[in-house]
Amino acid sequence: MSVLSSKTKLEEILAVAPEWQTTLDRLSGEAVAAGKDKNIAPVELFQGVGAKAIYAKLLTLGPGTDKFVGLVKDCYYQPLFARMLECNQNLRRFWFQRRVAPSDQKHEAISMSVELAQKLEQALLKQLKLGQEDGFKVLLPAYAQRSVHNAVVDHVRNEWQWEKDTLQDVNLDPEQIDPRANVAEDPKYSPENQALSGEQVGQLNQLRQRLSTMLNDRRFAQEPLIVVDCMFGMGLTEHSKVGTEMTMRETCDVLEIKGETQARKIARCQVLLDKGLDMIRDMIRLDMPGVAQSWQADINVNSASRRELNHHLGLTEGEVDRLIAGRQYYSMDEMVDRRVLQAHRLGEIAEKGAVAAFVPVDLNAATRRDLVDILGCDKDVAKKLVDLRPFCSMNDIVEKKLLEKKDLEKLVNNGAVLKAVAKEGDRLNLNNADQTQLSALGLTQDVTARFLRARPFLTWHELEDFLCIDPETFRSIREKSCLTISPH
Amino acid sequence: MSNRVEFSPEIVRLAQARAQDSGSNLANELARLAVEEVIMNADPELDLVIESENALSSIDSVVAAVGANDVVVNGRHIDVRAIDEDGYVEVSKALVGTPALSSGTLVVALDGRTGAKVVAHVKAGSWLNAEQGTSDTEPVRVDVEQADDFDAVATISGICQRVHIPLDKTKLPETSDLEKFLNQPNSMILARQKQMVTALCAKSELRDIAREIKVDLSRGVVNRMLRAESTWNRRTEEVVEKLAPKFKSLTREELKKHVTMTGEELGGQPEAPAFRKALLKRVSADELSVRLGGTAASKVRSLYEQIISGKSASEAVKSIIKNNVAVDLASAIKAKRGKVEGFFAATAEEIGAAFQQLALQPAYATHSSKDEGIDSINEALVLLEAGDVAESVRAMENELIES
Repeated sequence: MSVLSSKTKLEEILAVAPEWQTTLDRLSGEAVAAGKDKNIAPVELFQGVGAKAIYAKLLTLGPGTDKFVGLVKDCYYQPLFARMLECNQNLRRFWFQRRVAPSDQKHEAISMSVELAQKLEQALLKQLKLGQEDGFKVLLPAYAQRSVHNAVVDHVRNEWQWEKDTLQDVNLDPEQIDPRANVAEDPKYSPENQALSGEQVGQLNQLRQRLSTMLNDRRFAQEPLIVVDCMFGMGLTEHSKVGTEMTMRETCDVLEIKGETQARKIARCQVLLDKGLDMIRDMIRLDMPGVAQSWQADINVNSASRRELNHHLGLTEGEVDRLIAGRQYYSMDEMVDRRVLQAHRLGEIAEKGAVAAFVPVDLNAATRRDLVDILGCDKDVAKKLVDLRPFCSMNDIVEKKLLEKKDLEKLVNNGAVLKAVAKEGDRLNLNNADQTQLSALGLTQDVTARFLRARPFLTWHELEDFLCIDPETFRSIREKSCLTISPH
Repeated sequence: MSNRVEFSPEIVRLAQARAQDSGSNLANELARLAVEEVIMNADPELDLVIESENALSSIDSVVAAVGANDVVVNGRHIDVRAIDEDGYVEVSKALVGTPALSSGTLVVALDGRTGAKVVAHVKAGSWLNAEQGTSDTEPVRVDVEQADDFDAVATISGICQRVHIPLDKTKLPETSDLEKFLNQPNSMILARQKQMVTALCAKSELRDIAREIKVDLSRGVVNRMLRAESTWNRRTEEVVEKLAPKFKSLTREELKKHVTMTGEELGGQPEAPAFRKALLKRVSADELSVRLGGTAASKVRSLYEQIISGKSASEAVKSIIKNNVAVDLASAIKAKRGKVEGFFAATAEEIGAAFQQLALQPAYATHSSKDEGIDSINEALVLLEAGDVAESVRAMENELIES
């Protein structure tokens, strides 16, 4: 049990280890010389004296050990872990993908560091109990960084799993990070369901026109552009087919890219791809100013979670309620016309990345949360729809007495659609296939296990890069499967 | 101490996402993760501490600009590269001779995406030698001899034990210069690029500024746009595919133009109710004007709306013409014409045949003078023609909802 004390943590440490005062003075002097604050934090003192000295001190303490170990936990381990976690590149990437706000990142790093500090406290106590000579190692920053790395990998894996497990949970706390944006089974994840706003479509139409012009203009190097055309499946030249992106290997074959070995061909193809992308990037910069903003960070007001609307766009609770009740919107202005937001708020939220793009919600595949949040479906009806699907037609839903015709029409007007259900012989959707189905494709048990943890995959190129399997097996997988929710 | 490390699938996916966003090389990204793992697996007593926040590889814009891929261990930048299948590693020329490469390069052989092994160390001098005789824009390549028993930990410890020369005297460049370097490195001469890299290695405040600088249009954004372009084009083609058999008077190019224009107004989802209504209205108006010319525009519009809201074509035409027999005659004529599209006036033979088919007397049938009766039949024919289009549109609506 901790007792309230008027002493600062530093004083508490020095009361137990007065010999560390010289180290503290030295650190203070160095800080002043470097133009920094002369007040030294306890973690800096612990680092200054070093792991061996801390451990040696602990071994001499006897009955007072536990209290001092507590100080080590709170004033050394915890701040050290918090700093390492905040700088951890994998964790930062994971948070970035999930649009976790910087303040939330900090809080999460602190809570993870507290947990880790407790674990290391136990490890330290164990070492002390055994009286191990090299027990000081658990106090070394190099040991701490290993623990942080393991904790990050576990955290990412658990969060990913949690996202998959809670997908259908309509009662999930709306303040929690919405898992839907990252999960394979989410229909929005399917590339064909990517929602595009009117403004974005305008830019895409313009982009296509410009690319066609570049491809007919010999002043531009053609080969890099053709590689981009093939790899993104844009159908701009006779080499590519609309909507069918090619892998690097396929592009090499189709374009007969020269090279002594397959590796050289792929390396050459990569160089051409990079060059093509840079040419397109320069063209967009020059000819299509203002494009970047539409594509930087888009939060679709039609599918964003309450948390995103509230935390990221800064909408008030009232505005969020009105916005969700009035879904869906074809343009941002519609929100003003329908009195969801005041006109001056539009600019503010657009600056924060808000866009309005209509989202079709497939009744045969959507999550219950999407049925409720996007279509405005009643929770019980959403549950029944999910339990009784798939449906062959909209009439099927009325015939099964799930909804009255007029209620169904309302859902259709809000964006409900019905995509065909996979039939025997259809391509297998790799993003939601089970282990048995994946094994039947010829993937080994080990590859299947890794694949299940790593999906969803958006492109064949991404998948080829991840699997790194022999070209024949990959070709066969590609022939039999797809990466979309609707396998047609 | 084994140099071999395993990758968790989640970490590989994060690396893939990063490579796609920043335009970095995935193999190098994984190679760096492998070296970090080797360092973390080393004996903690060696005190090899990774300082991620000081690495150039932690700044997306620097990675995109010069392909930086360093691990910072106890203040030393150690470059890391994946060896290619031909046994080479390469770096951007902007890095050669800078502190980012002064500790050389650790070379990693990847085993697919499941694991990796550190196999060699290329010294800074080798890069300087290889740099001679290459053009400024060309990367520098070095042939690497792999060693199965290469001791990565000993090499890294050795690097960390060398005398560390502080770089604090490096002059801080202007932010605008840094911005230019991060956005378009090739717009600067090579020597200036190297100065920029040196300054970034030396000054933490400059790295902080670089982190905040937004690259105009990152590789990730270009990738997203191109993928969206492909998706939008596929959607356009699919909708045109559905429309083409029903709107035969319009060419595929004309149909495509209608789809792209509707997308600009209402977004890129053809399943959206407003999209399909607007598109079908636009396409059918065009189809009708091609088929019927400018005939009876207001009546056609009224008919179109009645059919779209659920009436059958003949019922809707009867409510407009008010001469049921003329409508029946027109229906008979139209049925006999079969699939012929486009309006043309009924001939005397056609009307006669229709009378016979319906077993009616001409006078009884039209209740009017002969000419007025023929006008009614012709008007009904026009409207039935329009009715066909409207019924096609109604069928299309359902197809777009249930695809």
